[in-house]
Amino acid sequence: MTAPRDPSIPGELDRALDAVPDGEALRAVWRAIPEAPRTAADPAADAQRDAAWARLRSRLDDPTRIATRDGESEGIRLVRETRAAPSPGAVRAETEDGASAGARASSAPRAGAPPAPRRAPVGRGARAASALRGRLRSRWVAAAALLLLVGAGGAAWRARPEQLSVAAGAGPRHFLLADGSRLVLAPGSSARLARGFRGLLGAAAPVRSVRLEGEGFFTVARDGRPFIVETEDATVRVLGTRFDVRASPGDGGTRVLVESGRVSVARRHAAAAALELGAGDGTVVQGDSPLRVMALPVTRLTSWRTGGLAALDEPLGAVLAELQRRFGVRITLEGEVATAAQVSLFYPSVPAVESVLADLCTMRGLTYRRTSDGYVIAAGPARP
Amino acid sequence: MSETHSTDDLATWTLGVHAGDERAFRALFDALYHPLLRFAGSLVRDPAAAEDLVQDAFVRLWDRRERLDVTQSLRAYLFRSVRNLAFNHRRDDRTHERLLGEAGVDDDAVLPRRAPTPDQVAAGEELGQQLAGWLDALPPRQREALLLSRMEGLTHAEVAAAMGCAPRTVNNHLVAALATLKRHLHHVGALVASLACMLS
Repeated sequence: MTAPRDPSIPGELDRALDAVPDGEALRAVWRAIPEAPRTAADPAADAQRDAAWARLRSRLDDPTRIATRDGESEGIRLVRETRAAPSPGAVRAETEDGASAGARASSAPRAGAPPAPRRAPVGRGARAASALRGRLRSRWVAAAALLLLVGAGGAAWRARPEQLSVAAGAGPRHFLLADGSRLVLAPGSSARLARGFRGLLGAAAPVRSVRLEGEGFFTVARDGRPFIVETEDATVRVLGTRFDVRASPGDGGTRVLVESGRVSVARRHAAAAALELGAGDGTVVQGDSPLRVMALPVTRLTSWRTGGLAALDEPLGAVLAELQRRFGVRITLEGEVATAAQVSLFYPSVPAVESVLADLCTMRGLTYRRTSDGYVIAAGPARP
Repeated sequence: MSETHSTDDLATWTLGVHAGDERAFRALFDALYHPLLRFAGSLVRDPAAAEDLVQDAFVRLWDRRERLDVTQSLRAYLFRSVRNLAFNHRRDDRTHERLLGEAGVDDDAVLPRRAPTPDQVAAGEELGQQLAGWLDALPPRQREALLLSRMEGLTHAEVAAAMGCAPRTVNNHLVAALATLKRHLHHVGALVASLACMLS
């Protein structure tokens, strides 16, 4: 090679051109093609780029945006919601609307698909064939009408909130939400959410919001939108994590436990600063008492998911409330029962409600007796 | 602000973006916006669509920043992203057209063939316009390879990564493209003559 290497030509190409008969001519062609400008001294170009950046910024900040999801590397993506599917089967099958969902699912393919091609039976005349054609045509009309109905019904159906609930006395139930998040709902608990986390007309809701009564354990899939659990007392906001929220009825407050990730907890009806919780942290939002971070045995306290029962320094009233919710029994108090007294208990696997009551009464010097729909807990020694 | 950037800059920004650093993201955006827009403009004819593609590519990058392979060239990643998005865009457009049938008018379809951009005209002077036409007429993959390699200065490995092919194939595309352009350059006189004949 006589000529020095041209630095503008990549080495790989340069070597390939050595092997081509008119390589030198091709190198000349290469040089004749202008490089794109490497520096933008052009203010118009700068302005265009800055405008594009501003647009990108506002897109990324848009809370209604659905982040790119690409499954492959997303550990917890289980269901990708398709446009027509109302919500993943696991949820759909267990909602109030189970029946209508099922009906819709079964009618959709019939309405959507063209009528099955049929041939006039051999040996019948032209009249039969034309009658069949007529039938087929009217079927088409019927199918189209059905499609419209199903479509309109589907739109209305999607706009209605979805209620997930677990009957008291049943076991915990697992729900897969439309965004891939998972919710284990404790017995006697319910959660309300916008179907598919969508707003009106099927547009993605800006936030994934769940209104919780009772207790639920959330494994939140990241999708760019905040995930918010609201209870009577608290607002728990997360981006992707595993945590437990328990909303006790009445003044029981809301307890939040974080297994992994970070969540922020705020009092629902106050503009006070939110509290940040990390893995292993918990807090209780109750009345006006200040929010504070507590280190709690999260796994033990969420053993309800596997049929356990745990309480750690909790008021007796809260434990009794949980028993009522969980086992669907009615517990009434008689006499001076100190419901504020703190108790701790842990059952790794599901005990009968009565054995829990027996233990509690022993601990607190109380008695209990059965009634037609539950139990009465009384202060003092057993009556004759 | 300058669009000049070194491989070191790119590596720094890659790590920054991966860690969620917005300043790194901005710097990357500033450096690669115009190159990506030029590339997008060569893949789809509609300038507005090209801008959208580049936006989408950056949005995707930001959304996936935590899963980035920081050992790979982010520049190649973005060009590849734009390329994939352009293919999706064209596919969706075709579906759109088909669904609308004759009644539907596709915006892209009625747009005239893109005129050479001012960049191309200015950079190549009188030859530029003609060259832009020839580049446009190249088979798509040859054109892409030449654009990325010669005009945007991507390395062979980056071009290969962006186009999803082997570096060897990039070479083949480039040599074929150069050979085609050479023929055009040699026949430019004959071409002008024949044009004159047709017009008269």
